[in-house]
Order: sequence, then C-alpha cells, then structure tokens
Amino acid sequence: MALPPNVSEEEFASALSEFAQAVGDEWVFSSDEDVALYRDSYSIYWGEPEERVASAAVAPANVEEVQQIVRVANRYNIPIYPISTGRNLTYGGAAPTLSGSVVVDLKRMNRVLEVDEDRHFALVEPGVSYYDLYNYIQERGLQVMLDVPDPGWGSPIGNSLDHGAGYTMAPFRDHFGSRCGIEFVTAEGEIVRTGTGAMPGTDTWQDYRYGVGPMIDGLLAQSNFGIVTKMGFWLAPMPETFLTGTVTVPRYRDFDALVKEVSYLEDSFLTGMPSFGSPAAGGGFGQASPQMAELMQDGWPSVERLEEFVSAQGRPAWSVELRFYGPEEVVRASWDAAKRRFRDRVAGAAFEDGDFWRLPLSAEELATNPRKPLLGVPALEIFATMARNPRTNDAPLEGHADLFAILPRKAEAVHEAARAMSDAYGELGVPPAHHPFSTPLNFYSRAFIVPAIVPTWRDPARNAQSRALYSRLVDRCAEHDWIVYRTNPAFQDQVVSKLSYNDNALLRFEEKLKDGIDPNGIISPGRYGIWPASMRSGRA
Amino acid sequence: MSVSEVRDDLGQLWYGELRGQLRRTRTPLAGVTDRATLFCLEELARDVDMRVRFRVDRVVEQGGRTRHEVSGQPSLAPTLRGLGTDESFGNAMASVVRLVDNSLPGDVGTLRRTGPFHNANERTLVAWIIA
Repeated sequence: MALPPNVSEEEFASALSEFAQAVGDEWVFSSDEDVALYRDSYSIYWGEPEERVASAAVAPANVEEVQQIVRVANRYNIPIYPISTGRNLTYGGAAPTLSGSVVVDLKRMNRVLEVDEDRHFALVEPGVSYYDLYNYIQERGLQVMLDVPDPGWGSPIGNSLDHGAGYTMAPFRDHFGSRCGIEFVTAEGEIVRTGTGAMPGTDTWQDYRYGVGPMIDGLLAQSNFGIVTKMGFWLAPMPETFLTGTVTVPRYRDFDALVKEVSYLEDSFLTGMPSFGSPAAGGGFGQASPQMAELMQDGWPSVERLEEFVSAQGRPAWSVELRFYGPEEVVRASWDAAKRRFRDRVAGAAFEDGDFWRLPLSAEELATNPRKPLLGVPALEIFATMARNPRTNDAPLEGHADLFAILPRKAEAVHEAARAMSDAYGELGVPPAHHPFSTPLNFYSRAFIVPAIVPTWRDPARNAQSRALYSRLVDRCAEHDWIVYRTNPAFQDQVVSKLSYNDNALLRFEEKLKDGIDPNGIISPGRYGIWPASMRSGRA
Repeated sequence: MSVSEVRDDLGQLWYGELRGQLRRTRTPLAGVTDRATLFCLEELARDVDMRVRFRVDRVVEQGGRTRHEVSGQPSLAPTLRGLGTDESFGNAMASVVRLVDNSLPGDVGTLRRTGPFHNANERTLVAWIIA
C-alpha cells in the first residue's frame, strides 16, 4: 500500500479509522485490490514507480461527510483528491495527481436536485453522470436538451471543472461556461455558495451567476481550492428539429475563406458546432494515411504542390458540416442563408443536404442513431467504434494522452500547427499524425483546437517514447505561443510553466491563494501545477 | 438469473438496469464480451465497488491458433477454459459464478489487463466474472 507523503503507518491507520467514523466502515477502501480500482487505466507511467496511485479511497454520502473528511485530512496532513465519477480518461482518470493521496470518491453524492424545464437549468451533485441526468429528464418527459461529452459516462460537474466540452450549440458545449451557481467545501471545512446562492433562500441561484462582488467560480476549475458538492448548469430548451448540411470548397487555398465564413455563422448564433474535414485527403483528423505520408516524404509540400494534389484527387480540398438546431422553418432558412453566403464568397463552393430529424427522437430511433452526442444524448459507442477502427488496431495502443493546442480561428494557424506537430513527431521517429490537410476541432466556439492523440501502453519503453513526444509537443506549442488547455497530470507542471508572462505571475498568484486558503495543502496537491508551499521546492 | 445482450452502447444497460440492481444486491456478473466492453464495465463497476475477479482472454493468433490467457481465482480456470458461446454458455457461467469466493484475496493482476484499443481486440473474446 502507498502511504501519503510524510505520514507514518500508525498515523495513517488512525486517519483511516476517523474517515470510517465519518462515512462508515464500508465506505473506506484501503486494500490493495480496492485501491487498484482507482488506477488510471490510460496511465503513461503504467506499472512504473512514477505511476500516480492512491493510498486509499473514501466515499462520502453528503456534504456534511465531506466536511468531516476535510477536517480529518487537516489533522493528519493527508492529501486528498476528490473525484466525481473518475472517468476523466486521458487526463488522469480516478488517480490522484500526488501519489499517496486519499481519493475522495463522490459517487454516492448522486442526486439530481432540480431540473427546471421552463427556466432551462439543472442542479446536480458530483456523482451524477450525464447518463443519470439524461435518464432523469427522459423519465419525466422534460423538454430540455443536455450537451454531453463523448464518451458520456462522466459527470457534468467533473467534466466542467476540467473545462470539458460537448457538441451542440456554443453557449452549452462549453460546459464550465454554462454553469450557474456552485457549492463547495473549503479546505477548512466550510460550505460556500457562489453567485446568488450566497443569499439564503434565493430563487435565482441557477438564473444569475454573478451574484455581487468577485465571482470566484473560476478558482474551482482545474485547481485545488475546494471540493465542489453542487453545481447548476444552463440547459438548452429542446429544439424542435436538427438539420445538417455540408459545404465543400475546391482548392487548398479556400480553407481561409471557409474558416472565416464558418466563424461568421457561429458567432451569429446561426449554427451549432461545425465539423471540418478534407475529402481530398480522405479525412482531416487522426493518423496520417499512407497517401499523406507519401505527400510529405520530401518535406512539407508547397501550396502549389498541394493544389496539384487536390486536382489529382478529383475531390474538394475541404468540407465543413454545419449543424442547425431549432424550429424547422428557422433551420431551413439558416441553411439557405449559409449556402447563399458561401456561394457569394467562395468560387466553386458546393452543398449537400444532410440529416433532418424532429426532436426529441424516440428511444427506438435513438437506438440505431450513430450521432447521439450531437443530440445531447450520452453514449459509450465511441469505445466500440475505436476498437474496430483498422488504423487503431494497426497501432496496439492501450490508451491515450491527449494534447489540445488552442489556436486562433485562422487557416494559417491550423496549417502552422499541423506542420509544427508533424515535425515534432518526425524528430522523435514517430509516424506523423498531422498533415497539410489536418483540420481543427471547434469545441470552443471562439477558438480552434488542433489535437495530438499520444498513445499510452502497458510497455514502459513505449510509454517513455510517448512521454518524450508529449513533452516535446508541449514545448513546441509554447514556442508558437499556443496554450495547451487541458492536460494529463504527468505534464501539468510543464504546461503551466509555459504561462510565463511577467515571471509566471499567474501561478505565483495562485500559490498565494493556495497558501492562504489551504495552508496544509491537503486538497489535490499539484493539480495544474499548484503545489502547497511545503512541496514547491522540488517542483520541476 | 437475468441475461442481457450488449450491443454497441453499454451505457443504457449499465445506468438503466445493472447499476440499480447491483446497488441493491451485489450479485456477481458473468459474461463474454469483447475487450472494449469489458474495459468499460470494469470502469463502471467501481460505482458499486465491484471488480473483475476472473477473466479468460481467448486470443486467436495470426495462424488461427487459439490461446487462452487466464487470470484470477485459480480454481475457476479449468471450468472457464472450456466455455464456448453456444446456448449452454449461460448455464455454464451460472455454475462458475457460484464458485467465486469473494473471501479469497483478490488478484490485482486481474484488473485493467488491457485498455479498450488493444490490437488483438477484434480477434479476442473475454469470458469474465465481475463480483
């Protein structure tokens, strides 16, 4: 069994006993077999001494038990690491940032406290999964639509606190951005409510999130300043229909115009999340095909060479699927307006009608629908899909550590990122995953993301190579002034170190806050680079 | 004994049926699935403090030979090795489940043996017990 740092076996045994008094014997887990359930299945240090592992886990049933856990942890200086469902795979899963921490598993705090279909919000506890919330809404026939990540087994609270995102309309797919009202337990064991929740008896906690005075919600995301025990979310009213249409543009150079027009449409609230692709390249995201590898064998091709390649393929260089939500007459008019604008601005733009569905779909219709996340319906099908992907199976990976670089919404930035990442792979002898037709993701409506999916294994030698690649990608992003918006615990220090404006003033400010509100440093030490004072000297 | 079929999305089965039943009574689960499905079930089983107690990965190698990788409670191995996927499977698994001894120390090596994207996934079925 791992022990918390600087805690003796006797002290730890006493602490576990006090945890058991707080939550009941059956909700303290300390056998090797129990603790192994909290390993990170995708760990990039799997089986190595550096793998982040828990010393025990404790599962409170309510906020009062969370308070008691925090007080015990303070008495014994035991680091604790709260998880909601612990399925944040690629970003650490259920494993703590600091080995030896006690995982506070909030799975028993699983109540949907309220869903209001007239004011379009939900209030939930951390153990509520997207499936739970979805099923709650379905069972009551409430006319609201969720925005879900994929896979959908995580919790709205956990996902939003790590800045997770979904697939529908801009205000909702930014999950932290759609929150309204938070309750959390401080390191001292106090319960705090943000926004108008600070006023007892308010009926606007999930309507108006600013309250009065400083809004501290952001301090609870990607951080270690408290344990969130309730959170409100704004939901979309159930749209009447869903419609998709695909735009293609013929030339490599047309990506610039495509991007600008898509940004116009989304920022005008006419479309949902766009999905870019490259018909000429056979796709835009994922491992480079042999055809792309051949195109790049003599270095990054010139634009002229890329135009020749596109012409030779006989397919359009780029595509974007636009998605519309709303009344039928509105979505059809929006698609018509989009087509007119593209036709006016990009020579050779072509259009293809896609799906049209009346919402909500019935259970029978959903059963065979492969696009559930676009409709706010949680799914786990992505695992089956990826397991059967021939390209995935060519590379016997066991998991992945994702690196998402945030870029401005500019065609040239996307091309630059693809080239920089491709170079980084090449420098380490890893087959490139990026190519001149790589396309961005648009989880956040105001920024592009160019992802790198770095494989993880059960093989230490291969994991060492993956760590070297990930680290190099972080460095390369920083050289280009691209932030990595979310990362695996193994790289959080490195990623945060790149926020170097004014001698890392942001991190120094966060450390002052940490010292003030969590002086013993018990909550999630090291999460996103924020270490307690006692552990700061050894930080990379 | 109840029997469920898993298609691509395990989530509705877990959140709609299994988890609620298991919260009330921690009944052992037994099944034959692909590795990706078992990976998901293993992650989900933490909700109810259950874990993989035994598994036999039936790996079909390139030449068509079949290899069984067995881990977990040793006394179950002979019975599970002979299991097929025909109609007798349900009864056979039910008998094996009765042999699971939760009082024996668990085998940490049985947990998380593979991720969901293993290269042998398409050719591998896993017989497993979660308890």
